[in-house]
Amino acid sequence: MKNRERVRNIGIIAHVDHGKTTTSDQLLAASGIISPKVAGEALALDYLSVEQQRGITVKAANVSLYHEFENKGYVINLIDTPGHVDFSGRVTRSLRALDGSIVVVDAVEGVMTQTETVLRQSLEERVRPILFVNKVDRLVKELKLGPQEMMQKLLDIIKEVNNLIDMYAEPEFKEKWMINPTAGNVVFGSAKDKWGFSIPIAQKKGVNMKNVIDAYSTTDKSKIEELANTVPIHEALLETVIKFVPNPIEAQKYRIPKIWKGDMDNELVKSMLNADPNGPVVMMITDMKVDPHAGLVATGRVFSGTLRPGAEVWLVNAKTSQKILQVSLYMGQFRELANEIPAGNIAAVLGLDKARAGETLIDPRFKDLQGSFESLHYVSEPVVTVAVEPKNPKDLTRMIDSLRKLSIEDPNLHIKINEETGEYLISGMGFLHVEVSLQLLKDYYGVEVITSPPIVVYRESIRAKSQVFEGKSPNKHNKFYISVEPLNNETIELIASGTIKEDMDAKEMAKMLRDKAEWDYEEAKRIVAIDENVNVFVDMTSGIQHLREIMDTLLQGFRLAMREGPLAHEPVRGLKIVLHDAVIHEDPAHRGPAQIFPAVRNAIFAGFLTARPTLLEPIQKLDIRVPMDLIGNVTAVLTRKRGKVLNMSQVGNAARILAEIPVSESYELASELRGATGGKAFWGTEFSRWAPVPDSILVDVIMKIRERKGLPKELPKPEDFLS
Amino acid sequence: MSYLYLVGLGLSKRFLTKKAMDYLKDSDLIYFDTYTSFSCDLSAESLEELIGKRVIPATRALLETGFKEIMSHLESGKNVAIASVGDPVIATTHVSLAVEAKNRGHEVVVVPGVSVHCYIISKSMLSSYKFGRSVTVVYPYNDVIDYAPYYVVKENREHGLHTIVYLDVKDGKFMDAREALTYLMKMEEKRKENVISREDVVVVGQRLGCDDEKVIAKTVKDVLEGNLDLSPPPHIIIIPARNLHYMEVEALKCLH
Repeated sequence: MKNRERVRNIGIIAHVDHGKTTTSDQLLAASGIISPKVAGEALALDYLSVEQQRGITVKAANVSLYHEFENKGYVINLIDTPGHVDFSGRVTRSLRALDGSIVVVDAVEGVMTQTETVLRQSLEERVRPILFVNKVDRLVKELKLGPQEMMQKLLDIIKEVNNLIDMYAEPEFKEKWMINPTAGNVVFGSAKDKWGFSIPIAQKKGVNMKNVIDAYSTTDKSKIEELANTVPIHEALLETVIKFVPNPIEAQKYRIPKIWKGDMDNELVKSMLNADPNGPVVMMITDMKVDPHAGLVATGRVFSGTLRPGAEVWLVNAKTSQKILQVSLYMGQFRELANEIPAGNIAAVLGLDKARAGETLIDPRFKDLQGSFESLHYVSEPVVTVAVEPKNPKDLTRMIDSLRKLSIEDPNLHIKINEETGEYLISGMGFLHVEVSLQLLKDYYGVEVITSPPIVVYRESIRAKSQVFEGKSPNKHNKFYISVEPLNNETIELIASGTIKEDMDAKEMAKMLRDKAEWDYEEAKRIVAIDENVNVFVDMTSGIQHLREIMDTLLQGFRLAMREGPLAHEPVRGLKIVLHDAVIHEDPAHRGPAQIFPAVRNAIFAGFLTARPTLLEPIQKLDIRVPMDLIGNVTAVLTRKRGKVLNMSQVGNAARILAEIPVSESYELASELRGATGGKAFWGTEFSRWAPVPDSILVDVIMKIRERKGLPKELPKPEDFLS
Repeated sequence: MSYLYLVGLGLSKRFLTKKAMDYLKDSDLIYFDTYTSFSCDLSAESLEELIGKRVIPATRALLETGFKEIMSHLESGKNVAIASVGDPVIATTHVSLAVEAKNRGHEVVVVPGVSVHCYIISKSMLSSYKFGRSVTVVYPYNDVIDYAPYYVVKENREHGLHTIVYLDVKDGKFMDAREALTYLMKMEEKRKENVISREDVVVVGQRLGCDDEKVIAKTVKDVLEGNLDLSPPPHIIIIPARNLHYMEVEALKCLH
């Protein structure tokens, strides 16, 4: 481990069912960490039953393997990257910790949508791919191919992968990273049957495709076992990894400039470029898990310095320092304590309960430096919600505790209590995300819940500028004069990306808004609040008596009003609210929250309702791969669901359709797409943007939400907020 | 055209004036304001007994946001009375109702009652010519303290004036004199503008108008240290001016 030329950090990426988990298990088994007999069947890496049922891996597990090659010992850190695209945030995060990836492709199915997506993602993060063509036995057993046809089929797959490398790799890596059978950076085999070889290995061991065909052409299982003994899959894969994946010292030289976001010219970055174990500590957390015994376990890659228990580290996103209590390495799902873990390795750390997946840890001496691997705003917005209650009322406390843990492990999962109904609300990035999380709740924490039908989350917004409206407090002694208008896209983008933050220097913020979002500098300087749903409060008054005393209450009122808009009590998004004038009672008893909250809310909502109000709905992006002759079937489904085709291209003999579809229409999308294409369509989804609901269905959508929430079945009018 | 009567009931039954009774009896609808004040023996029920008519308890929501209901009764020709403990206008906010009714062409009659405001002035025996703005000490909201009371006392004291300090009610809980003075001393600690000290004498009225009422003049220190036997709230405080007239000095001594 200290001999870092002998460390490799890799992951395995694949399309669903191409054999990622089986491959991982073969590697685990051979390293003596879990029994070889159990591997393959036990699916050790997928230790939550949810992953087996769905055949997808949702939690990144980590493991350090030991392998001897040419009389030298190597440590191979294997990070299991999640396979489902709904959680692509996690995939990218895991990839940053890797230097190489084993791309698993099913020999019969070839390169599929998700193969392309993850391969593209890993190339973008400068992760070097090696290829494993899995399930070669199917070519014999199912397709009955002869040696020549088999070779041709395998070469076709290699060619397709190389096309992708050519398309997505940066110029300086293209040639070097191409898959070349003679060089040996591709392994052919069957993970399930435990054999595999690259061309150089096959030549050395005297094995060829003929042996493979023979092994599968007889009922005698011993032939397959013999193959597994001569050319064990783990040896082939680990040797290939050791030979072709760069060690961390080599890799960090070219990977740091790609994955580090921020200042480049400083000691920290210099030390990372050299993977210097004596430099300042820098680590990226890829995963947070709640361990029933140890508490929160942070896992990630050390890019610089050496981790030791007792050291203080600065958490860049959490903006706080914490002390490392323990450091350890992974073995299967267990951790082994270590005294120190130098740069280049994957480590597990205890004591960082303020950290979340995506956090960057640095030496506290560099805390003023601007930079991290991933900014806090990477986390996407939740768009689907379900209400849950425990099946057994006695489980309430356990359910609450488990939900909290789930949300720590998965920052994209949001947990909220509905104050009025006392319901617990779980929000995620899509229907499947929420569904999988509930399954985890059951399998991992043993809590069974009853759920409401999933609800799509909307936003309320406006499309015009309002006049100034007067909002009065209930006692009529306080008045606010307020107008509202939509924020422009540039401003929304700056805030949503976290570039503009409420707590930043006012002048700096004003300058940025003037230069990048066409704000008037003087007005921008008077921004006094920005809420979590991208709304901005501007105070254009001057010299109003008592305004200072109630400012906190006023802004609290603004934030509360933005949480539940007037149309359907959905959060308000993208408003600029301008306070022009105010009259405030001189005695605190007559200007408390009970007076101020309604006054500010009334003025904002009256303005809102006159400014072409609308609902925004979440739109998701679809990346669909389907045989050419089925394009029409796919577009028919999309059209029926208010979807829009953005782009269509041909990849190999399949069509790639990029489309957008409202999340509200996506509930049955999976089964309908499968039905329309006989299961031949494959796709990935991710959140795209918020878009206005078409006017033709606007009132209908609003009314449905109002009905569900038990609100009066009529649209509110501006007069309702004026008196 | 109808009549809107804003009727002050005084602090307890014994303060109820003949005039107040007459107007209540003359009303078609009587609302009893349940949120602006407190009395030991006045309630919607006790009032019903006294005048032999139905009395509707009125919450803050009804009197503030639901005033349309009251206006619609006036419009339908009914005379409406709003009965408040103490005085209907001093330190309460029914003015907006009066103005609204008047604008709609109704007659408004204010029937004054003995308010805690006048009552404490009288009981303290401090010179009524020398009272400045009054102010309320409110509970902090989201841990934010409203410094208004501190600056009102400061301003009054700079002009040689006394300050009547009302105390907040929150969720049915009355702030007592100890809490209020603790907040004021906290403000002094933070702002250090030499407005109030532990040695200052303050007047504390307790359960005014009730049989067990008390009015005392003690130092802030005495009140805070708790060796005084205060009656349960409601309380009211006067922070006297620094430069007292010699007669006021003597008067306060009578309250020791």
